Amino acid sequence: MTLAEFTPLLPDLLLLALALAVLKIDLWSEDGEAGFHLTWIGLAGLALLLAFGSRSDAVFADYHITAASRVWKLLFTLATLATVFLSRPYFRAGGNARGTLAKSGAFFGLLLLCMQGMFALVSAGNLIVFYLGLELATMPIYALAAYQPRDADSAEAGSKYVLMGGFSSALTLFGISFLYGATGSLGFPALEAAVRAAPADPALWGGIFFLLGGLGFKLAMAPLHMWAPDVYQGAPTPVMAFLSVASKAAAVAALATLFLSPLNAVRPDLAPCFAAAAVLSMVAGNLGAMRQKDLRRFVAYSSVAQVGYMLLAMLGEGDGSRAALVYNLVTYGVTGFALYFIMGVIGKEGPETMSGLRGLSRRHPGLAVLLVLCMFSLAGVPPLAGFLGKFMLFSAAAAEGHYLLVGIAVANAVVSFYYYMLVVKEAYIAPPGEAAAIRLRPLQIMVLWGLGLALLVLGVCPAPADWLARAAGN
Amino acid sequence: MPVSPVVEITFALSALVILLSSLAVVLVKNPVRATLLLIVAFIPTSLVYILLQAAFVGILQILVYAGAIMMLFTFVIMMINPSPKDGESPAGGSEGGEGGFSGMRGALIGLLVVGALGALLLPKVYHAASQVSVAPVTKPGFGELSSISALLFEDPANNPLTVSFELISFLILVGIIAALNFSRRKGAEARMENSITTRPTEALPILQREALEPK
Amino acid sequence: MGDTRLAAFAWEPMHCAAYGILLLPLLSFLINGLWLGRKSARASAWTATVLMGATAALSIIVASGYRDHILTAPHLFPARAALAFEHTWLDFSLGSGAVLSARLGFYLDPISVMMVLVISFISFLVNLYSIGYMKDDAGAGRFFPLLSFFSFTMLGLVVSSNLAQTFFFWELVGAASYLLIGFWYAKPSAVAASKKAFILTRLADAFFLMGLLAVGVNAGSFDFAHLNGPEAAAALNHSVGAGLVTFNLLSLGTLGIYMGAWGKSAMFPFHVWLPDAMEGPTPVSSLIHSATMVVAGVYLTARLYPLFSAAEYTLRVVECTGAFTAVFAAAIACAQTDLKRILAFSTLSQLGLMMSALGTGGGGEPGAAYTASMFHIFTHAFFKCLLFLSAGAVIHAIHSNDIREAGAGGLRKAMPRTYWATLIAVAAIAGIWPLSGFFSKEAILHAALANGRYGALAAGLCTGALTAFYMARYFFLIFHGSAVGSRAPHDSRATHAQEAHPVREGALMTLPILILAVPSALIGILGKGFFTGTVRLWGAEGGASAGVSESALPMRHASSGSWLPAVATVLALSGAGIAWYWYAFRKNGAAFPDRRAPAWYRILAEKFYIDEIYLFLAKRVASKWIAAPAEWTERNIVNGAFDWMTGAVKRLAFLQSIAQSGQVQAYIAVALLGIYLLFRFTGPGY
Repeated sequence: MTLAEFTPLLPDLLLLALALAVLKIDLWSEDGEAGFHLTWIGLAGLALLLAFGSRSDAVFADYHITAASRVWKLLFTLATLATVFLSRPYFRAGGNARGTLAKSGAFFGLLLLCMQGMFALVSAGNLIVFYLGLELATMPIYALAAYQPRDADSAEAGSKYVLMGGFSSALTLFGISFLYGATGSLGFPALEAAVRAAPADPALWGGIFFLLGGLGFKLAMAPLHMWAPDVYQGAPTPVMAFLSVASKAAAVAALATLFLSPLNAVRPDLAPCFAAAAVLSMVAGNLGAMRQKDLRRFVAYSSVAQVGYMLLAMLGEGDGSRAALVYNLVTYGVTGFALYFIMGVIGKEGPETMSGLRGLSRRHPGLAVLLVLCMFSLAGVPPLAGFLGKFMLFSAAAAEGHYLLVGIAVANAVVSFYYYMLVVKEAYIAPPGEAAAIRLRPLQIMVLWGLGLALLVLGVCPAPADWLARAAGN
Repeated sequence: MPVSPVVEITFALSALVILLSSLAVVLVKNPVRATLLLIVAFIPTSLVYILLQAAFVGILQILVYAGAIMMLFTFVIMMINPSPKDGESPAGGSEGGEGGFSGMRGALIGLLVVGALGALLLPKVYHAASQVSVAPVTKPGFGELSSISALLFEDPANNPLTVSFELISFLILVGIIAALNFSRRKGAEARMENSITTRPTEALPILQREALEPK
Repeated sequence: MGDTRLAAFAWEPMHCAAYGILLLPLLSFLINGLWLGRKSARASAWTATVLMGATAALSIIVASGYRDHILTAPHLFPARAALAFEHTWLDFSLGSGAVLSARLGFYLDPISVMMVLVISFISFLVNLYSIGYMKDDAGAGRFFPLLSFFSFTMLGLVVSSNLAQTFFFWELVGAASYLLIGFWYAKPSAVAASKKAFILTRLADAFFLMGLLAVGVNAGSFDFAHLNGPEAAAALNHSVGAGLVTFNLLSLGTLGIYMGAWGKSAMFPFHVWLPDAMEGPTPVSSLIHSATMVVAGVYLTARLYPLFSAAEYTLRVVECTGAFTAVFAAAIACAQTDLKRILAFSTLSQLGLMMSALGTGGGGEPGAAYTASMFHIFTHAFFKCLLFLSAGAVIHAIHSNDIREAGAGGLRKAMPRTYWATLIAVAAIAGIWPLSGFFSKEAILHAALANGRYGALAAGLCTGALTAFYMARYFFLIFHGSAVGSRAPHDSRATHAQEAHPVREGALMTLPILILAVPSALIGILGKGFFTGTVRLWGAEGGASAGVSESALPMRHASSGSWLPAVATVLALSGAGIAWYWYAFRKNGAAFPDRRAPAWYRILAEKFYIDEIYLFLAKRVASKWIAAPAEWTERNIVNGAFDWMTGAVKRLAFLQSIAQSGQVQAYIAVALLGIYLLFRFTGPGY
C-alpha cells in the first residue's frame, strides 16, 4: 500500500493525531491556553480538509470513506468547533456564574475522541465498527456531563447518562446479535443482501427494534427521551450544546447509515414505527417544553420535538430524506448554537434560566434580536433557516403520502410556537431587574455575528447547506 | 440437527445459576459478598461460551473477569471500605425511606416491571429464536486460539477487525481519562450517588409555582 | 400557454421598475432599521416616505408598461400574464427525478398589477400621514422601518409567481403585523393583541402549509401558471385515503390553502384577532385593513381561483364563510362604541362580502364573481384607508377612541376637511351612487344573482343595509352628536382635554386624507369600465379550465337584474336614514332609545309610525336579537373555544411533567415499555 492511497483517510488520522496532541500538550501547558488554540486550529484545518480535500472514495477493510460520510464528518467537525468556542468562557475564572471548569486539555481531548467515534460511526462498514463508534461517541460524554466540579446536578447528569447509556448499549448489542443471528453476517453488504432476501425474518425484526431502542436513546427519541431534560440541565452548557447538536447529529447519521442503506429494504415496513416515534417525540417534546423555566431543560425538550420532526424524513425516499436530514441538522445546529451562545453570555452573571433573559432587549438589543431570530427559526418562520428545514422534512413525508402525519407535525409546530414566543416575551416584555449592560468578548461577537448571518442566509439562500445536503444524498 | 440432552441440561442449569447469582449481586447488601457472587455468575457464563463452541472466550472469561477484574473490584472495595450504617444499604438510598424507589421496595418494583415486561416479551423472543436454525459450526479449528489469532492479525491492511481493534484502544483511553478526571474530584461523589434517586418529579415546581401565583 | 417570460423586455424601464418595487421598500427597511431610525426619527420618516413614493411611481411605470406591452398584445400573451423576472431559489427533489422548484418571481397579471398599484399608493399615503401622527411618539424611529417592511412583504406577496413564494411572504406579512400591532409593547393589551393575531393566523397557516404541500407535491409544481391550468386540477382530482377516511385531494388541498386565507382574512371564527389588532397605531390599522394583511386572504383565493373553481366543495365553503361573516360582523358593528372597532367590524363584513362573491362563482359564472370581488378589493382599499386615516385624525384630536366622546366636541366645525372626507368615505362604503362603493357592491350582487346564489345575494343585501346603518351612525355620532344625549362617563374629561389642546388639523395628516378622498369618490365610476368592460380580469385561460366558454364572460350589467341597484340603494338609504333620524335628528347618543328624551321628540316619533317599526327592527331586533347574540357568541363560544383548547394543551403538559419523575428506574421502565409497544403494534404482525 502506498502513502497516496491513504489520502482519503487523512481527516480521520489527523483527528486522531489532534486528539492525542491535545491530551499531551495539556500536560505541559499551565493554563490550558495551548490546548484551546491547538484544538480550534486543528478543527478548523480539519473542516477545511473535509470540505476541500480529497474527494475520492476509498475502503480500508470495513472502513468506508464516501462523499456522504465526508459531509457528516464535516458536520461533526463544525459542531465540535462551535462547542470549543462556546466553552471558552467556562474555563475562565468568572466566565460563568455556575463555576469555572478546570483542565481544558482533558475536556477538549474527550471531545475529540468522541468525534473520532462519530467518524467511525459514519464510516462503518460492519456492525462491530458501528457499535464501537457508537460507544466511543457516547463514553466521553459520560465524563463530560459530570465535568462541572462540585456540582450535584452535573454529577447527577453524568450518572444518569451512564446508566441510560449502559442500558441502551446493552439494547444495541442485543439487537446486533439478533441481526447477526438472522443474517449470519456483520458486514453491511452481506447484511443488505440477507435483508433483501428475507425481509420478514422475525429475528431480524427483533434485532431492528432493539437496535432502534439503542439508537433512540442517543437520539433522545420518545419514549427513550426522558433522560434528556435531567442530563441537559445538569451538564455544563458546552456539553449540553455538544449533546444536543453533535451527538444528535451522530445518532441521526447512525440512523441514516443503517436504515438508508443496509436495512433500506425493510424501511417501508418500518414506516408505522417511525411515524409513531415521530409523533410521540413531537408531542412529548412540545408538551414538556411548554412550562419550563430552566433554559437547559427547555432546550432538551425542544430538541426532543426537533427529533420528532427529523424522524419524518425516515419515511421519505432515500436521497431526499438524507438531504432533508443534513439540511435540518445544519440549520438546527446553527440555530441551537446561536441560542447556546446567548445562554453562555447571560450565564456570566446569573443562572441560565428564562428569567435570566429578562430585559435582554434593554441590556443588549442586538443579542435580543438574535434570540428572536433563533426562536422564529426554531418555530419555522420564513425566511429563517428553520422554516426551510421543516418544509423539506414535511415535503419528504408528504411526497410519500403521509398527510395525516404531516398534519400532526404542523399542529405540533403551532403548539411549539407558543413556548418559543414565551422566550421572546421574557427578553422583550418582562420587566428587567437592575442588571447591568452586557459586554461581549471579541470571540463571542465574531461567532454570534457569524451564526446570526448564517441563520438569515441559510433561509434566504440555502445554497451552502443545499450543497451539503446534495453531497450527502449522493 | 438435534442437540444432545447433556448440552440442553448444562445450558439450563448454567442459565439458572447466572440469573440467580446476578439477582443476588444486586440484592445483597455487603459489597464483598456481591463481588464474590459476581464471580459465581461468571463461571457458568464461561460454560455457556464453551457450549457455544467458543472455548477460548470461555477461558478468557474466567481468566480476565473472574481472575483480574474481580481482584481489582475487591481492592477498590477494600480501599473505600464502606461500612453500611444501620438501616442503610450501601447503594446509598435509605431502607424504606422517602426516596421512593429504594431498598427492598425498589427491588420489588423493579422485579415487577422487569417481570411484566419479560412476560410480555418472552413469547416474542422465544418465537423469534425458534425460527433461527441452530446448527453446530463445522469449520475446522473454530474457536481455537490459532484461528482467533489468524482472524485478528492476518493481513492487517485488509482485515475487517483492524479498525475495531483500534477503536477499542480509544475506548480504553477514554475510560482512563474519565477515571483520572473523576479521581481528582472531592466532594461530588457522595452527592453523585444520592442525586439519582432524590430528584423530585418535574410536576412539583409547577405545582409550587401555581400555589404561589394568583390566578 | 406560450412563453410567459418577459425575455424581450429585459432592461426595459418596466423590468427595472419591477425590481425597484421590491427593492426600494426593503432598502428603506434596512436603512431606517439598521441605521437612520436610531439617529433621527424625523429623517427616517421622510426617507421612508420618499422611498415609498418612489415605489408608487415605479408601480405606475409597471402598470403602464403592462398595459402597453401585454394587454395590447394578446397574441403574445394569451393569458395576459407575464413574468417580469424570476429567479430559482431552491429545488426540492421529489424522488424519481422530479423537482419541485421554489422561485422568487414577479408575476404580472391584471390583479397583481392592480394590487401593486393599490399597495404602493396607499402605503405612501399612510407613510405621509404617519409623519404627523407619530411625531410625538418616542418609538417613531422604530415605526417607519417596520412600516416599510410591512409594505415590502405585502408587495412580495401579491407579485409572487408561485405558492412557495406566496407562503414565504405570507408568513413575513404575519411577522410584520405582529411587530406593528404590538408596536406599543409596553401596553399589555397591545402585546396580547399582537400575540393573538400572530398565533391565530399561524394556526390557519399550518393548514395552508399542508394544503400547499399537498397541492404542490401532487401537481408537481408551485407555479401559479401551472396550478391554474386544467392539468393541475385534473392531476389533483382523485381520492387519497387513510384507512376509513378518504378525501378528494383537490378539495383537501384547496381547502387547506383556503384555511390560510380564512385566518389571514379573519373570516368567522378566526375573526377574533382583527378587532383586537386595533391596539396598534392607527396608521398600522389603516394599512392592515385596506391594502395589506387582511386582503391577502381574499387575494390568495382569487390568485388560485381557477383551481378553486374546479373544487366545488371548497367554493361552497368560501361562499358560506364569507356570507356569514359579512352579516355577522355588520350586526356586531351596529352596537359598538369604539371608533376603531366599528371600522374593524366593517372591514370584517366587507371582507366577508368579497369572499362570498368569490364563492358564488361555483354557480357557473366564475368570471363575474371573480371580477366583482377584485373590484371590491380595489375600491374598499381606498375608502377604508380614508375612514381609518380620518378616524385617526379624530382620535389624535380628542385623545380618545370613544365615539360618545367624539360626539361631544363639535368636531364638524373644528375639522371641516376631515368631516367632508369622512362623509365621502361613509357614503362610499354605504354604497351611495355615484361613489366607488356603489359600483363594486353592485357588481358583487350581480355576480350572486347571475350565479343563482340567492343566499349570498340576500346576505349581500342585508349587509348593505346594515352597513349603511352603522356607518351613518358612526358618522352622525362623531360629527352630529351632542353632549346632551351622551352617556359617556369621561365626558367632562374629554371636554377638558380639548380645552387644553385646541383641536387642529395638521397639514401632513390632512393631505393624505384629502388625496384619498378623490379615489374614494371617483374610482368606482372610472374603474367600472376597466373592471367589467374593456378589460376583463378573467382571462381565456382561466375560463377554459373552469369549463366556461369565452362568450359567457362579459359582465351582465344590464341583461339581468337591473332592479338590483335600485333595491340596494333603497336599502342603503333607509339604513342611513334610520341612523340619521335616530342619531342626528333625535340626538340620542350611542345608547338605545332614551326614556328621558324631551316630549316633542316622542310626539315626532309617534308621527312616523313606520319609523317606529324600523326603529324597533333596528334597535330592538337588530341590536338585541342579532347584534347582542352575535357578540355573545363571539365572546363566549368562539373565544371560549380557543381558551379551552389552549387550556387543554396546558393540562396535557402538566400530565407529561408528572411522568417525568426524575428516577432513572422509571425512565428505563418507560423506555422498555415503549420499545415493547412499538414492537407490538408497529412491528410485523405475528
